[in-house]
Amino acid sequence: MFTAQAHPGARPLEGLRIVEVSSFVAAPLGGMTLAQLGADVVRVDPLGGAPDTSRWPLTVNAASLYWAGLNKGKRSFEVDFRSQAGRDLVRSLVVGAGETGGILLTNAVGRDWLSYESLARLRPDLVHLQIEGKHDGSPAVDYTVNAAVGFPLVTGPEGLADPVNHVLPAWDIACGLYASIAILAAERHRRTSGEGSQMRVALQDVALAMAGNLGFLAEAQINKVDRKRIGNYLYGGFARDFTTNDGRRVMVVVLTRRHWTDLLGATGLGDVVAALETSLGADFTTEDDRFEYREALAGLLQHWFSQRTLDQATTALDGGAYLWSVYRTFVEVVGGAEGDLRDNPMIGEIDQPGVGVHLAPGSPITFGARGTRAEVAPAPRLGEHTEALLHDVLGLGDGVVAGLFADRVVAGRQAHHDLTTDRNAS
Amino acid sequence: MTEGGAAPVANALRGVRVIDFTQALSGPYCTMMLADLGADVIKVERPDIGDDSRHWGPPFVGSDAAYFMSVNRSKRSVALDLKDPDDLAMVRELVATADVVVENWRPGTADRLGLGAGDLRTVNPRLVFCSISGFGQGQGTLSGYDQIVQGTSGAMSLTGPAGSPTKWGIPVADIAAGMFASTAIVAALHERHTTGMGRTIDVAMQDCLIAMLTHQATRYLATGALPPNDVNGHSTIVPYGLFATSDGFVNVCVGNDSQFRRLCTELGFDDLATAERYRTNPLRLRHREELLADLETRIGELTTERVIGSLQAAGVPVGPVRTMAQVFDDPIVKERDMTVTVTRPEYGDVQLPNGPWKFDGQSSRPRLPPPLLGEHTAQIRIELGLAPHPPSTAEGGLPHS
Repeated sequence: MFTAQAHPGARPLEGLRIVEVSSFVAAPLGGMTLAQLGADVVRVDPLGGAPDTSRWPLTVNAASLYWAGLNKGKRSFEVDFRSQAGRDLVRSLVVGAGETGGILLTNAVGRDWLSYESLARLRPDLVHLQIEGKHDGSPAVDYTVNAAVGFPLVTGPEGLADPVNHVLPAWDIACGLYASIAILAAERHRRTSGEGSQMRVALQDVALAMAGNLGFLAEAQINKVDRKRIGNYLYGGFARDFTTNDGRRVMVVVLTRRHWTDLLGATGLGDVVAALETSLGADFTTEDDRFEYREALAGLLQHWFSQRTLDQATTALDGGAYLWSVYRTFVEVVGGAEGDLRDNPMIGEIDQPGVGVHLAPGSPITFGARGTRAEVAPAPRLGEHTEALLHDVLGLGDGVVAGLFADRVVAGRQAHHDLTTDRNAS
Repeated sequence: MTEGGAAPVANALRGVRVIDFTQALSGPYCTMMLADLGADVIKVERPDIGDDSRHWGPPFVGSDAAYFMSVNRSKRSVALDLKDPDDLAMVRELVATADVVVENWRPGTADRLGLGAGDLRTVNPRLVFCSISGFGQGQGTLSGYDQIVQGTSGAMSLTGPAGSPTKWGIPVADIAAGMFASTAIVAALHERHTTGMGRTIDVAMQDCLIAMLTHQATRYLATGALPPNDVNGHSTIVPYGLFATSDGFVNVCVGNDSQFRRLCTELGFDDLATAERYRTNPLRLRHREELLADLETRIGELTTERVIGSLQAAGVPVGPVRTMAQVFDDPIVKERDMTVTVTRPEYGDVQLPNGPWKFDGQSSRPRLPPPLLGEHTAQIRIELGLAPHPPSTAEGGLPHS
């Protein structure tokens, strides 16, 4: 079983305690990112769990794989959000616990009892991060943010009129990671200045920031370009998906002159491309011309793939500097190539309560020359650590704790202490 | 708090816990000084009513009087009924976690409640226990209001025009008691490091003002003569005091003979500068009435700006008489951080005068706004290992069995 000593340096946030009042993706991901770096992240849920407790995908036992995936390595505290006593326990959990506590990560809105103003009156050096929809506090989710920011109308096949959403909740993910960065920045500031921080990150701002950072907004302003769809082509370069004659799909990416030269070598298309260059007066060693004539070049390359099986194409393409990959389904990722998954040191086998044994990722960050990482930890059961937290963090006595359970102010596991899951207990 | 650096703010008393049973001004001023210096001050107040001074308005700042705001920043409030056995038990638990208790009840009240120094040392032998009263412990139940004490201490007899005793514009007896008490408490905490023992401190407002009589008292005690009323001047330095100008007032302080000559020269009173009868302070004291009358007439014809401009340039101590508006508009006052802003729920920002000290160039910053009554009761109960609310008031639950 995991111990901190077994992974020296891989848990740099050991000792930091973060209370997370959250649901869905961004905030739980932010908390989990910190938990996977060693922080004691306490996810606080209302009795019966937050709205994401039963979110798809579910197992046959109705356990949410989504919840399990986004809450790995945390402790769970289940409490009645509607009672004053329950709220006071949560508030004490947030503001207590010494110099390395006093940190709240939340996407809960409209809860005055969790607001910065209210909590900072209990602990002035509070670090408070509120994730919200829009910068003005109005609600938004990944799907609406995505619609508003422009990407769905440039995603998908050329000529299509309908918007295409990407399945990946990109803005939630970026927002969650920003949230974890914000907390670390504020915690550092608190260590040097003694001052807390009130912070907000808006999902829509994250999307707009990325649209701006990637040049989409500047292109529209400066170049007055109304970007059109180009399917799976890479804008301004040469990349696309291709189909082999046994029906497999591959993605090929050429970014540099070397990539291009190698690809022509591997496919034997050098002569025909040279002839095309001469007749068009083009120079395909430049990205500009490769993009300009992408359809002609891709047509030649698609012809090459359509005469080969995936195995034959793989043999021919092996060793070039260009980048390429076979498209796989999730089933293929965990099935046919499970060896890949198992061989990846980020992946660990966990026994998730209610789910079972499966391969799951830890933190993508490694430490040291040997690539040390913390072991992958499962998500808690709802309320698994309620009792331990009442005892260890709040310092409440047995009688008081029993009374809180009896009054249904709190819920969750009671009476047995499982040392393996209480490893973060202070 | 910090790693490898000086504390960024003046939190020298961080880690010291003070249980504060005081109300009104003297005790709260004392504990505010301790809070400004970093102590965790827990203000114990009566349920529903709280500190009397919460009601001493208008003006009110939200639910509490501005008076209360002025001396209660950076404290936590717990509402407890000291006549309720359960609450009293919690008080004793709280005291067990504390370093200091401060009270300003009438003498005898603490013992009657079972909260005297002797009672509380049974739960906390190292406790520093400070009482603040009007006239001292054991002095009956004389009311120690500031107005009364300003009179009984002799301070009023030395203030205002002769024959018209005048109270200071600020509750100086209360404030002095708070300041002396905080100094005594810090001294006792320091001593405790070596002795391991607390002290019982008895601070009386009247004693504090008497301690502040300084040269006036010393002169009386030495000579047996009542000191003359200085009014707005000085009884042994001439000229030294307030002068009316054509458009306001100035304070002028001549500390030596050279300054006197410069005063006269700069303001165009060359005849006074060279007059033999005014050459030294003893001479000027002998001719005090004549000189002051002359100066009052002559300065009364000049503008404030002219007097201040000339004398400042000549190095003669001089200053204006300012209103509160002018004071808080002064760039120096701003640069010195002499106001701090706190935010009250449902009211907004409130400015308060700050503590005056600078620690390594850092002034005090309030950690908390003045508390709402009982605002921190649940937090402190949980800190003591108790349920957030007493069982009888727990919500949404079955009764405890």
